Amino acid sequence: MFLLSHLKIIGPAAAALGVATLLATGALAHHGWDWAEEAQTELSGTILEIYIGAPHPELSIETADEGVWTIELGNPRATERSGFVEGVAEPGDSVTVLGHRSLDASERLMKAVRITIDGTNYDLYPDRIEE
Amino acid sequence: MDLLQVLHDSWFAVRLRQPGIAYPLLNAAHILSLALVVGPIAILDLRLLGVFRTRAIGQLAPPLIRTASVAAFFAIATGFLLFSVRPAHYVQNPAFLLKISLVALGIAVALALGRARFWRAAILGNEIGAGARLCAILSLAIWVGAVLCGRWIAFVR
Repeated sequence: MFLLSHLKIIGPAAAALGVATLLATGALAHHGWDWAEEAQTELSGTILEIYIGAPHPELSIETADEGVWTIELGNPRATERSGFVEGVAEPGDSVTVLGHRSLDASERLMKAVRITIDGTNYDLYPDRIEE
Repeated sequence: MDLLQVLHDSWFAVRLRQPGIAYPLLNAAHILSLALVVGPIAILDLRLLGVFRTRAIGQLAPPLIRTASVAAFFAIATGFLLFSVRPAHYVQNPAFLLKISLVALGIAVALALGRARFWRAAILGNEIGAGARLCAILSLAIWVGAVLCGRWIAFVR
């Protein structure tokens, strides 16, 4: 009976452990901005890969001296609204990204507010752009 | 021919990538399905571990098992559609690979238990031995792990 009464709590305990681990890892990407630096910075590079669509549009870019970065764009609707749609860019194009870098530098992850390709600005979060 | 590319280019994958309600609805359908897989399994496992012991397990088990089985079909179907959106991306995602492995293991364990004499004795005859309890713990661990890994897919790169 002693054992049984302890076994009862295994499910909830495992779930709690899972939630704790989830919170401990911190950088829950995509949503909000708290996981990223407050400062808006620029990052330039060459596009390696473009993904436009659900669940989340993103770019992979090769920078000159900071390696390969993942750039999170807006949600699918916001990204479409910015004008960044299929066909406006392709791997190999140069891109300048304005956005917020993840607080965890090892992630090499930036959430973009604007990307600029060939002189054209695509404003993903127009309200957040600091100029 | 690259099967992942064929899937990626399929009409439903193209449709699901577009902004709109299709993807969020599919996502919600997947969550509902997996809730109806994991929920009934968890209730049955907890019953085997001594929770709700005033309820006859022979009464609880059949509807729980049937619900989980039907929901598993829908969870796999909706999961396949979600996968079709970025197949080449997901097959490189360690959380996805671990999740698929856990789901396969969970289903294999459930199917094996359905044939095992000690399990049937527990479910039908209310003779819950140490083996059945151990399998209940294993089952809980597998399914909780599968949910965690599933949620993790969005957060590893």
